[in-house]
Amino acid sequence: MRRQRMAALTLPAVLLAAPLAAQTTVIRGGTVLTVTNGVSEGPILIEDGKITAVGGEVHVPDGAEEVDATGMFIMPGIVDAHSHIAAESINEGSVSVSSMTGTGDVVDPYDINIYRELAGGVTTSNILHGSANPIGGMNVIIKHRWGADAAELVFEGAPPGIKFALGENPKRSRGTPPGVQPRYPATRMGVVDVIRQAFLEAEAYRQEFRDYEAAKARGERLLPPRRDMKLEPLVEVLEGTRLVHAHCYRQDEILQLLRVAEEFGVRIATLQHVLEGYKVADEIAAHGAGASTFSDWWAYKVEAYDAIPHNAALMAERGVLVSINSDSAEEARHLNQEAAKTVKWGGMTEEQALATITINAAIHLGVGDRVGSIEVGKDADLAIFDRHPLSTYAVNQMTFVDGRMLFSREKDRAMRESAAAERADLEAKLAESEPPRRGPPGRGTPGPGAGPSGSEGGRR
Amino acid sequence: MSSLFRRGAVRGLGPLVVLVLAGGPAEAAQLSSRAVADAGPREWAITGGMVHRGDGTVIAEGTVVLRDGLIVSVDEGSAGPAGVFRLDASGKHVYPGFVTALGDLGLRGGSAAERPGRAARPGAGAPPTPSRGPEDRPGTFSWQLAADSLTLDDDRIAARRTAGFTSAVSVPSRGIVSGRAAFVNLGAGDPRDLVVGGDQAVMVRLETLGFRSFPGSAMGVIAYIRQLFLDAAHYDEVWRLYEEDPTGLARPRHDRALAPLVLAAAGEQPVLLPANLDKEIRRMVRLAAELGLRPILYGGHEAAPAAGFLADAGVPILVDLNWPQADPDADPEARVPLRELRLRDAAPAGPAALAAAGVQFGFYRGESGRSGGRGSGDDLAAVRTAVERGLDREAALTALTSAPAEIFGVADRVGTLAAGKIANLLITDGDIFDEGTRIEAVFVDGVIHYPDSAASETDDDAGAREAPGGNR
Repeated sequence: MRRQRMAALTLPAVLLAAPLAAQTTVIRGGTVLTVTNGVSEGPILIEDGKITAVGGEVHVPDGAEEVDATGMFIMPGIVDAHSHIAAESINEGSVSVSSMTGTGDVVDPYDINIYRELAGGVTTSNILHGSANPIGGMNVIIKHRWGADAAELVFEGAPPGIKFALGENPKRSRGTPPGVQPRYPATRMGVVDVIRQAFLEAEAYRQEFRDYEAAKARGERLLPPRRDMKLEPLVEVLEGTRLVHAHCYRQDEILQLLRVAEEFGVRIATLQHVLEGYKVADEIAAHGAGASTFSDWWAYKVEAYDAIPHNAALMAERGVLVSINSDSAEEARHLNQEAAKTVKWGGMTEEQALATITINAAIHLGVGDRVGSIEVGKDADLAIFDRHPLSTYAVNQMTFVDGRMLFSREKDRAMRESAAAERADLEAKLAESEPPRRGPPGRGTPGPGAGPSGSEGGRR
Repeated sequence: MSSLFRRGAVRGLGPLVVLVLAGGPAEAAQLSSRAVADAGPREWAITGGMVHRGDGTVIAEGTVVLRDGLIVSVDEGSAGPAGVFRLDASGKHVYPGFVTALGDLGLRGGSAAERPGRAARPGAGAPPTPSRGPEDRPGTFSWQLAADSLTLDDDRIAARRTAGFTSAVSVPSRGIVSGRAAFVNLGAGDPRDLVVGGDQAVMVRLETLGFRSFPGSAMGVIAYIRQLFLDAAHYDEVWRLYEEDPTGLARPRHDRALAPLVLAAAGEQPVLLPANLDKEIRRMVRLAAELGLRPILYGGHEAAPAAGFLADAGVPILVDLNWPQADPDADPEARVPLRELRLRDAAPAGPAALAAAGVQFGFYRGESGRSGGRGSGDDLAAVRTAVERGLDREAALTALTSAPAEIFGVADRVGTLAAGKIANLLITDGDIFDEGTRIEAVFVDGVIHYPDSAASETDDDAGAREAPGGNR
């Protein structure tokens, strides 16, 4: 019985989140930047968290919530293809292959960055493992459902992924602390060797299970192989069911990775950072990898010296699907301005520029059918700016996730006031009950219990 | 003969002990007061007190008869058998002995002065060569049974007993899987006689071993726990197959880390998992569900918002009585996060929410500072705070007695005052949850102990009080 009840807790988060979205909203006025179908006029009808109508004559049911967006610009919620927010750990740096770990195990629903990025219009983020190792941990894609618990933040149905990393970070270019044995690999040759070895191990592991199943089917008696949680995600990579998001900078390491992947029949889903991608754009396009890059960060380390702000546009010109990501809780709050730089430097159209932070990123993450554009049937994830979002002066006014307004400047002001009032109340209340009675124990409550009785307290 | 029991009286504990010994006075008179604690009378009739049985029922003027460490009978108004020591508890309250539901009592010998202020650093147990993955079994001591290492050379035992605690769940406190818990009585004599249940739960501590040794991250240690319990289930499966018929089979490898985890991996032995905040509670319940484990959570300072979730999952939790409070050494001008203020306010109200939701819970005291707690070390005072914040007294008593006994699978032995159970009980001069109520006597395994104020003064936290923020 206990087991059955616990099993119910592992149901997909969509079931948990569904009741929250059961409402109808109509957004009237404003310019709708659909990203995939040009610019349109409103209204936008939202029912049960989905977009059910865009423009034209819309039948609005009674009781629908009305949002006036007159004079504003409505764009799809921003999708950040590279983020490290909302997780209690990012790097398992002790090993060269940490694919047994995953940020999904440590999602932190309390991280204020979930909310702050909502304020910048971000509604979906790819929470990646760090770049400490050639093969890192599994990622988790979240929706910015601020206030939900960890399981409800997870983007239900998004394909699983994993972090790979090349170059200076996994090879530990910035050194190893004194007294610590350096970890393999120390060169780019070593990095690709670790990846190749891991793929070989995963192939052998898959074969071991296939042989076991075949032998069992023949009626042979033998011991089942051990499940290896480091190799299972890599088997999924080999089978194309887990997306590889590979941190990389230099042209040579990019080609190294594409070649070793092709050796195993693997397609790299996205090259992340990929600052020299413009040099090997044809090869990237031929492989079919996406490229998720920065707008104009460069020279913060040797392998980033050859970065140019035209990178995104040049790769796109050669047929690579390109997104702009943040890799930063700060930059994520103005990804609209980062996208605008592709217009300035690369001559991208406004729609192409917006696509780099919406539909392209969504396709990179395998959720392009759900988010990334304003289309009937898609999730009602929207950001409403007071000016065109590619303008430096544009300020996001409201953000919707699954049809629910989770940020607005107006609501935010009210929340600040209520938080200040709550703080004042709590401080007054706690000032009365604290500090603890530090005098002698009260009459007849002999002896305090023991003090530090082990380290079984909470988890930090 | 009266001098025999003066020890209790001189401590100003009131005229509790009015004893009538029928039979064998000469024998009794030879006992020194210390010997009473060591051996003492084997048969007692405690009469006239308000007996809280711990199962929700109360007898206004009850009689509890003890013999040879067990409760013989609990009834109303009977005189009890003749020829036994009588203890007139008229106007007093009688409770089942309290259980401190997690800690390492009896596992760290010596006095407070000799002990380090904190438990051994987690990394201290790490091998000199860094762990390179789950196969190295980092920080895993699953073969260690607390029951094998108990010592009475731990002055915290007397301190707890003085505070009304007759039993403790004790488990080693070093490593990621630090060992298996024992349910022990806080008595005297040979530690081997104090074990009530010797193998009650597996202790998981989710400590990381640093950036250079696996697991070095919060997600790494969770990944390790996942692999470890999968390995234990696999270990069980292959050894079963092999022992069924080894002919033609490759012999599985022995693994001292996995063999003791087989029951836990099958959901047949509970696993203690740390979970202080709401998000941690949900995370650990989901991890346990994924792995088919039977969790007992510990921490529980942010239990209130998770109470319904825990009730639905049917998962018990041990609540750390070290309520979070302001850091006395913090910059008074520093701005404390609102979330922390909320937690400091809400933590003592958590037990009331758990009780209202129908979650089974017990109490223990976590390490100072680890979960934000900086309490004075007085467990009963901390429970009284929870009562002030809405916890029903009966529910508080359950959490101190029968709930932990049930959670750790020894409710057939301890936790309530009922015939046939172990004679662990305490006698107080008032309702235990009233401020100022004094504990006058504590029975452990039927042996009487008197509150020992000296014991409390050697307590760790007593030292901390004298030198706040001192040199520990």
